[in-house]
Amino acid sequence: MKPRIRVVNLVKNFGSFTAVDDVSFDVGEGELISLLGPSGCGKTTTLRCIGGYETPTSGAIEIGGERVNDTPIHKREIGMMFQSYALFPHKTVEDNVGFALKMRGVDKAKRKEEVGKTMELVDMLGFEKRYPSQLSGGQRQRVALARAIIHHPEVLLLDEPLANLDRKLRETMRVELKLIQERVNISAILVTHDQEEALVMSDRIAVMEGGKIHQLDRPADIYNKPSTKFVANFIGETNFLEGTVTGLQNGAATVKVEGDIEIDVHAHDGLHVGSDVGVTVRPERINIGKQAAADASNVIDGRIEFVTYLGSIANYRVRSEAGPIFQVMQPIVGQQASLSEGESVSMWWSRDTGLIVD
Amino acid sequence: MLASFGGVISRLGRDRLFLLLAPVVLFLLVFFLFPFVTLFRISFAVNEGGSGFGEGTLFYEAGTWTLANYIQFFTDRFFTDMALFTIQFGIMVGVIATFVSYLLAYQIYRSGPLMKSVLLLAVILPKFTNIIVLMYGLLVVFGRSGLVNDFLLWTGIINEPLQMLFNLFGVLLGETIIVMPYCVLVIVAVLHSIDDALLEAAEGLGASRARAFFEVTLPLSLPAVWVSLLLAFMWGVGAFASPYLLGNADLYTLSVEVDRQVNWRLNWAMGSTIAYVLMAMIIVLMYVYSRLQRESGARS
Repeated sequence: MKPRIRVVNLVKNFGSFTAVDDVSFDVGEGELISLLGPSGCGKTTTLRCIGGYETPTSGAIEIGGERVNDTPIHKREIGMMFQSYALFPHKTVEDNVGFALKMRGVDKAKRKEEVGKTMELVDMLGFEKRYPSQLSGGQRQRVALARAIIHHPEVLLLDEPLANLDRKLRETMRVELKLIQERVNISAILVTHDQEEALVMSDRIAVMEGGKIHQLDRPADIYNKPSTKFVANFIGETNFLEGTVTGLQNGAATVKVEGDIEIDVHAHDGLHVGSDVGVTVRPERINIGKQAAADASNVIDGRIEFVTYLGSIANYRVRSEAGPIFQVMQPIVGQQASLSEGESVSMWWSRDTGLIVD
Repeated sequence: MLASFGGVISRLGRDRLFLLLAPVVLFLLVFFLFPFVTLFRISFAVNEGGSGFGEGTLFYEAGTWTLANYIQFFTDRFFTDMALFTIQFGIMVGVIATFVSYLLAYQIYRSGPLMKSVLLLAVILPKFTNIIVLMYGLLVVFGRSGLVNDFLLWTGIINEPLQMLFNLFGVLLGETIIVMPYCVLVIVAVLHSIDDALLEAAEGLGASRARAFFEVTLPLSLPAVWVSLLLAFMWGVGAFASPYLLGNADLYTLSVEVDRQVNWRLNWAMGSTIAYVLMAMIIVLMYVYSRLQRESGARS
């Protein structure tokens, strides 16, 4: 698959501050890549460099196989959706959506036809004559999307497009946005700080911090095989334990962590006895019960300090006898969490559940 | 400060709060309403020369009321021509000052922080000067042997000095310079209220800088243009210093004539009449203007 967008060794400095520090990635045809990270991680600056709103300090941006570093914004084939939507308040929905075509000299009749098609695509037929101020947040969002894709740009740039919607609407729009993006088969780059949004919408996610990409992978791999402690912590909840490798055999490593607890994990190459490592274990992968199964590995005894009831799941905070606190998440089968505060419990998990990260 | 203010409120009680307005109301009564009503009365007085107030300017005295001044105003070509010119002058000032102010305001809006401060200061600085000093300053720059003429003669573009003052150009120049700071400030404020993301969006969708200006910036700053037009028009209609100091007798506005009637011909009655006609004209024009503006606003 030929990449539609290539970012090669992109660096962007603001004075002495490096906002984007040697970032490279490709976006394939019809692929949606998320730039995910906390505020100030460089994700928005990266997007703005691609759009032409910032000039890269060094590195290259290629759109559709052409280097566009020196191409002004209005000559780049992009469609950008802003967090504030940035709809023109003095233009009707129709004129907003048809703007890119007007700028390209498309005549009025043809424009009307294309606007109609695009409005249908975003399910907004019948709103053509309204002004943005007469629309709800979700409707404005659809109009902004229609405006950004009507001219079939090479790439759709999405800058936190869902951040201004309330939670319920946001969850619906995620899926709709993704479906429309797939239907028109447009390459897209999504900037977000919302990990759920990234997991739901992306084909691949680039987790960024301090201007660098920590990991670029499919959502399931980002979640299940985080390559760094930052990624493990940023995506989902995790139990993170620091320790030293004390044994290595048959592809398994034994890591002694805080409280002298020994944990067996799957070992990767280059690990040797005495290495300082971190181990991450997802809370929902830990079994918990009054009694551990007889053949269970990694059994740790403790006492439940606090139960967070979340309707469909229960979140237990367990203090192990050796000291460290664990978060354990279990689905609730009946109406109540099966374990309660103060109970003595055992936790256990299989060797493949834990993961060593750098 | 706030606490003591709250104390005053609670001591006065809600229904006696209006007493706090008493000083302001008293001030307005004495210094605004009283002269206002007195002048209105005088505009209906029989002018008999002498003191200039006319005889018997007591408000109620019978036989001293007349419409003669108003009738003279509307039947004498001298006054009607002057009224027409005053309105034309107001429109010219409105259009010229707004156009020039928009260019300057846009420059300020696009400038970096330092340049912005410098330009804004330059715009406001003339307002620290006395208006008469400002007008005479223009003599130094634009007079027959002023800086501009000297420069143009030196470069050889012209062979003899240009007449830039004591004609319509000079009067418009002076009035525009008087009004411009207000217009610029109004337009700059509105330009800055436009969300930058709108321009970025326009450019991202294929609009060049110039195109984005006409599609986004200009239409969104139109409200400021309307205000600026009105502001400059009102100043132009009420112009005194510029026509008086930089014009000639053909370029006198109604305001100048008020001064001439009162201070030169000692005809307070006619002076008052002109003042009231001028005021009525402005009120009518403002009403028409606001209707036009509302209709155009309703369309877009």
